[in-house]
Amino acid sequence: MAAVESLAVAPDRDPEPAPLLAVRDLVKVYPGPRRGLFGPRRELTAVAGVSFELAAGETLAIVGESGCGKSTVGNLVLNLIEPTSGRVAFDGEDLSATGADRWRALRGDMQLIFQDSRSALDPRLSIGDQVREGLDIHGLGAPAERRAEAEAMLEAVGLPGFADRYPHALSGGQQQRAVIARALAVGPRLVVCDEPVAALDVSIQAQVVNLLTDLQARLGLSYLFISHDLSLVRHVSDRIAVMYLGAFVEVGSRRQIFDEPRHPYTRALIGAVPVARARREPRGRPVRLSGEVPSPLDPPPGCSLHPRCPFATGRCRAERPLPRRQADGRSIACHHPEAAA
Amino acid sequence: MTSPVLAIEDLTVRIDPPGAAPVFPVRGVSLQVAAGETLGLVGESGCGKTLTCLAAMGLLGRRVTVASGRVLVEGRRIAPEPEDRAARDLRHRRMAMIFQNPGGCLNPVRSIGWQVAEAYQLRTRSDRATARRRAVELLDLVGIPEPARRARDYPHQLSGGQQQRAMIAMAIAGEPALLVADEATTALDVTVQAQILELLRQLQRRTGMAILFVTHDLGLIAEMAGRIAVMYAGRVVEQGPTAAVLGAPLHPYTAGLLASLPFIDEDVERLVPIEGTVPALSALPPGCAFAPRCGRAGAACAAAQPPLAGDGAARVACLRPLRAA
Repeated sequence: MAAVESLAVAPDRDPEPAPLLAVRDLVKVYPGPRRGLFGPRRELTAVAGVSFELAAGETLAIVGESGCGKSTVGNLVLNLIEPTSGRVAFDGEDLSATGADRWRALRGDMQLIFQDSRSALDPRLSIGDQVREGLDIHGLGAPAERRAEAEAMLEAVGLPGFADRYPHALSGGQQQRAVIARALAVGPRLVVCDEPVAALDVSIQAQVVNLLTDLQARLGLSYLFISHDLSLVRHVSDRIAVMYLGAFVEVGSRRQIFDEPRHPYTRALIGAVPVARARREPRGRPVRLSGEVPSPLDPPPGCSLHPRCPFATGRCRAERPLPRRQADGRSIACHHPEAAA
Repeated sequence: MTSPVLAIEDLTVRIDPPGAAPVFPVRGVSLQVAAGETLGLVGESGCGKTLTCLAAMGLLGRRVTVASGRVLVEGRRIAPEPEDRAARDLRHRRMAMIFQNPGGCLNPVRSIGWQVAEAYQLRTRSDRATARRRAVELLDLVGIPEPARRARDYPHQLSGGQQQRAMIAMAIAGEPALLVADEATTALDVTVQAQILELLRQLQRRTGMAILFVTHDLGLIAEMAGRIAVMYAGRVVEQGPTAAVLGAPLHPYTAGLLASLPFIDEDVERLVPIEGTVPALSALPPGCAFAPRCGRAGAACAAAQPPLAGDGAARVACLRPLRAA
């Protein structure tokens, strides 16, 4: 009985919570250009078999460099693009065979915040009407009260009295707040945040980041937080998935990833971030990668990092490493995770 | 002390928008960069850092002009523009700039080898064959693999990182005395950015060029620049050795920027944002431009603009700095 109560009060504290979101072997392959004029069509593998779980109230960040497929994962989870294979389950419900009507209802539970708030907002609708639109679509609350509801939501994101203004009259930070208000007005449980503050100046970023963490604590939201900014990710996330060329190379807790990174790519990525204050002594040797990310049209055989990795061996060139659960609970896809440590 | 490579003296830039009152996006900025030195110029979008660079390069336009002050490179005037041959010559031979967006700065219908050779030829007045040979060496120097083959490639065949390397090859061809890098690595991924930063440091050690390194990223400044100047709303508000400014800032704006940043090697309970927003250029407050957002501001701050004061090394434009300069 006590266990049931604690589950109801604080599901995120439970040691074995049922995941809100469970993703299994998600793959997305796009048809690529032909090799030569009449040659065979090449394939672009944007996401090459990704699995993860997200608990209620938790923030999982997906980090990686441009083109690694992190935004594609977010879009696949929300079914904005169709996966080539793999399954997504939301609150125990398998979404692979879900019809359009059910999806419409699910949209109220799963929302998205983009990087570019200017193009995410309709320039010809007032901010209040845009927040209210979601309530209308999902039939939330009495029609007469939706206006007040929208205004209350705008106040919650720090835009009191903004309901009659239009997007062009708002600064970039205010526009992003309006996007957040619109996403949260319909009462979602999962929010995919795709680079939510990347377009904002640093002094404004902090305002929006604080708003996102406050709203999460108040509303018990789960965030799938997609970002290239590792310092920001450390600040907002419970767990982190590091992505390279379409696959997760290391998934672990914030402490594991930032204080004791083990995959060579994670080490290189964290080591490459310039810091404004004196850096604490990093544990282990810093890893320097050579060259650049290969084209996903022409991925290297074996481990996709091997052409850039200082620890690569013959096995790395021949065999793709699969994610393996380690003793400390994290998962690493590397043949020689001890080499970089 | 030897005379600086770049000296910006009390520079004010004026924009005349059609049918509107003029605005002054850069107001009374003075900066110096010595040979072999990197000065970091940091600030948020719209603070005037890019216009300061363009003025330093003599690249302002018809409606964007130098209202007062001047820019000297190796002791000779670049701005206000003396439209004579000597000034143009100086700009071609001794100064170079790299931009954030290399794709937009490379000529799409010429091979990168051709473009690097052209830059080398302009700077050194060498013959075409020498320039072509030198271009391949430069592409090799900036870390483009198989430079002889890649020299025949066109910009669209290169990745973003390689385009940026090609632009750096153009910029350093003929060994300019001054390199202005305006958000030169902002568009790159961190692992490639680390490579480009290392390349710039190596080149500087070799040629002793002065670098004006402009960015919004305080972390980048900490890694690249020995000295830093912080700009806010068109003015330099604080200037000094990078470690001192970032370690113990004097100006409330610098301190506010640092407090609003998350750090990769430290858990911060809560970020402390700077409340409010940057004032519009057309509606700048009469006193300190930061006063409306500043927790320490008093009546005097709103009345008059504080000058950049202090001893030679550390200077701050604030009536109530966080400690005595």
